[in-house]
Amino acid sequence: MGDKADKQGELLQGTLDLLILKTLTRGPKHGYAIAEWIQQTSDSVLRVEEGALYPALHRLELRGWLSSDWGVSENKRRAKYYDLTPAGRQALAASTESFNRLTGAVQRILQTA
Amino acid sequence: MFTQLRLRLQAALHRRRLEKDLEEELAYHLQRRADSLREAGEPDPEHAALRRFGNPASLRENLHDQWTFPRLESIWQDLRYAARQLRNSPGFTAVAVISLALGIGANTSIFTVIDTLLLRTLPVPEPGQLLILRNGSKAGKNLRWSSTGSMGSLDKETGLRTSSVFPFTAFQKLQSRLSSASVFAFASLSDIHTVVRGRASVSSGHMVSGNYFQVLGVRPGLGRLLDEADDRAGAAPAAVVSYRFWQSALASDPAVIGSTLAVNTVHLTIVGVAPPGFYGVSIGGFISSPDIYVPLQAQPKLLPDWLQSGHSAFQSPDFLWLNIMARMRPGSTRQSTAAEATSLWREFILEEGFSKDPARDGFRVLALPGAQGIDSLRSNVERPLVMLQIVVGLVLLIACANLASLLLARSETRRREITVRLALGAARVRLFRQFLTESLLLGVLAASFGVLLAQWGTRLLVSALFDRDDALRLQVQPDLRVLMFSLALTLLTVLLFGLAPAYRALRATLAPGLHRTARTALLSRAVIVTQVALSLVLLAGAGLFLRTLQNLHSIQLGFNKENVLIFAIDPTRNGVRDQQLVNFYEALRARLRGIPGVRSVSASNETLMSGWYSSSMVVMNGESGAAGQPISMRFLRVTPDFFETMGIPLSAGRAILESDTAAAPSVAVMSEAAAHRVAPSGSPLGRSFQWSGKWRGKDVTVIGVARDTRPHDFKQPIEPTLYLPYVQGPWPVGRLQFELRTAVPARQVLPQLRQAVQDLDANLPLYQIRTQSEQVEDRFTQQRVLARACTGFGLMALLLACIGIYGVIAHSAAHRTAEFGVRVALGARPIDVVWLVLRQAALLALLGIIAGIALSLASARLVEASLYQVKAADPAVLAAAAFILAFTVLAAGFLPARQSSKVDPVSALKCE
Repeated sequence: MGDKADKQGELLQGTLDLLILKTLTRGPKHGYAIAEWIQQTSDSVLRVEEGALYPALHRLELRGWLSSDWGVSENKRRAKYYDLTPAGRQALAASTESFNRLTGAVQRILQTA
Repeated sequence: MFTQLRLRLQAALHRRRLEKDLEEELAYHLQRRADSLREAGEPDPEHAALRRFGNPASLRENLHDQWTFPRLESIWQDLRYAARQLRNSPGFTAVAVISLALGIGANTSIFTVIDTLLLRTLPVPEPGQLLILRNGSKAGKNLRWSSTGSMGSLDKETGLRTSSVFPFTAFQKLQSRLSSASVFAFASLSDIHTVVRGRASVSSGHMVSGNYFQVLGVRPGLGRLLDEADDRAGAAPAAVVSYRFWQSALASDPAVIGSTLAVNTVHLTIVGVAPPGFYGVSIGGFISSPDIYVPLQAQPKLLPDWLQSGHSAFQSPDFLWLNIMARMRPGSTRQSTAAEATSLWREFILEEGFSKDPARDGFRVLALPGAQGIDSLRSNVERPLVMLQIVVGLVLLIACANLASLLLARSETRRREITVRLALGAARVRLFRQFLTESLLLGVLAASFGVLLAQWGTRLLVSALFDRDDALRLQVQPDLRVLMFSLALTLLTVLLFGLAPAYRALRATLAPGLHRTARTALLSRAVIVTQVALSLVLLAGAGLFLRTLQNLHSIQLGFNKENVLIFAIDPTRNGVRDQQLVNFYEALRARLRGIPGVRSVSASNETLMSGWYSSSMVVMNGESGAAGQPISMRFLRVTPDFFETMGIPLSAGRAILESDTAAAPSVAVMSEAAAHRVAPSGSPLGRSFQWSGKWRGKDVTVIGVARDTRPHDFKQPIEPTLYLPYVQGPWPVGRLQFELRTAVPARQVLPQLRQAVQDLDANLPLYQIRTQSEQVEDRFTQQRVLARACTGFGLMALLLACIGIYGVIAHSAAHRTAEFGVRVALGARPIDVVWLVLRQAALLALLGIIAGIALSLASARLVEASLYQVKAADPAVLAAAAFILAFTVLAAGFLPARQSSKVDPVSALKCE
């Protein structure tokens, strides 16, 4: 029963998905690297909940947006690497656009006096 | 969407790898986090990593659920749990599965037969447009045109005597003039001798009008079917064979088209094969399923004996032989077709001079729904089948009730388990589902056994209901409807017996309440009362049918049915006629008399109790007025020794002797009923009569009076009957049935009998070989089947009720162990305790018996028609059933009661 979504988390969840997809445009990464990359790139503003990261990764994989493969990591251990599929790329473009529209709208409202 | 399904299915197939991957992925993450924390100087990096990560177990579960089918998995879990529960109590499971399987199997097999015989429609397009035509006229009118012996049957409701057959010329009139429907005709050719590829056999066929296949809408299986051109006078003789005949007699050879088939020595060309599944206008090939179809025009050649005053009867307006069916044209109704056909039929009757006022004499055509085709015996089996269905329905209901009470008792003993599981946080819905799963599993197990049983049961039922030839011809195949029926039945039973225990599980509370137990006990007691009542109905039914059978067997038949072998033989099919035929019969009689063990030999055109008979009109000489009117009499054409062979005593005069040859003066022996009809006070000996109509001519003198014999339908009055020397006419000699009275068991002489016929003519098949007792027994089939079914199912119901009662009494006795301990300690004797427990069983039995008797009386009307000389409310039968029930119920209750009486007060009190 993987879709027990509570209303408040939806936006966050969607955002996390978007961030994961974006992260993977730079090539395959394993879960730990994704979390680290998001944290570093956002100057530690965004800290990924690790308990939420993996469910999101698996959900995206099952949805066909990510593919996964076992590889050897930088510290010579077996790790599961995720990569974007063509469907994932399309989804990223679509989500980016709608996210921009959303944040733009929020911005406009916040800028009113 | 599909990606997801594919991935999840893959994961489901590689279960272990999925677990390992999830484990490893999370472990890797934790390890990296711990490493980085260690570098940052964290004192306990592993724990810090875990803290940050959250609960890995629940995360793993989350991921796992994403990859698998958790809902399905929990169902699978329920199923496994249910299977374990059932395995843990094999006794209960066996009783449940066997009783349900018997119930479902019996219901399915009866429904299969009902479906085939009563529900299916002909395999042709738009069967709803088909009609069966019958003609009728007022009963009691002695109609000249019925002189062929086709008197038809009396319809009690309308008071009309109706017949299913019409003369050819009437068919022609209907075919050319009827505007509301297209009519087609057929007549059966039974017991024809066919020779194909050098192999002779006895088959059956239909003569069909040229438009038969076309109007029915049948497409050929191979080659072509008969058409109008084949049915013109002078057309090349053509035949179509049935698919079954093509398979069995022609080895499914496609090259048979164009080859020759000899029917009664007439050569026909096979032009095609009918499609599979087409059994003529009969569903499932019941009764009238033809092997061969020939055009109507072939009739004079195939049956040259059908003569009237020396001419072929084919065109005779007073020779009724054609069945007529019609397909309504769009816009017509059954009523409008019947009305139009009636006016044409009256026109015909008037033109032929059969009546001066056809409307006044009630001449009319009836149009019956024809979608199910013609199956003459359908009405005979309809009632027993429906009754059997009700009986087995009751048994299934009992089985369900019983199972429900057993499950309730079980849920009582599983209360501790349920309470623990609820306390541990199990969802009530889940418990409910689990109980229902258990019932469903039982149901499915039982259904699969039941469907297997049904295969066998259907065959058994068919062979019990119909005689051997019909049973072989009948194609009973379960179809989708039967499957749906069984499925629905199973689900229904599961709901019936499973819902109450499951509901109880749902309602169970952590703190057990006393009133709840009381309600359960009440429910299971109600179930027992119902069971006893239903068992009583079944047992009473069994008693009624057994009494009926007994009465039927003690009927005075008027002849001796023991040790008589009967067979039919028909040399006319091989072209043997007239004097040559009589010579053959006489030679055969002489030979048969010589067989050791044969006491006497006779032959007749029909046999006693066969259901077939001829009848004709006679006019007594020397009478005037009302007494001089034609009288309808049945007649049998017999050889000398007929009365001796069949054991019919003569009450006056002499029997038919060898001296009564064709050349001697015509004589007849009258049955007592006939004698009473023509000479109510005196003796008919020496009186003479003439046949009415065109057979008028010779005087026939009455020389003897024979005791009456029963007609095949016991409930009909005994008809006046004449016995005539078969050689004295006025009709030509045809097929004969031989009767052999033996000193040894009748069938023992069969080999010598075959040899004797073979010696005379190797090309003559014997057929319809049976003993006279078997022929009589066949008349009791319906009652016998019902008696057996009621007895069998009644005993089963009784057994189930006993199990139920044992369970309930034992259960309640166990609850009262402490009470009994106290009573025994206070000085109660064992017999007091036994009575204390047994009282319950006695009360339940009493209530059940009262309800059962009421139910039996209420349903008496249903069985009345199938009974013979027993009232449906027969007090002796009801009393016997009640006694059996009371006795068995008390016996079932006695076992646990005795157990309780042996209770040791000390241990019983310690137990609490």
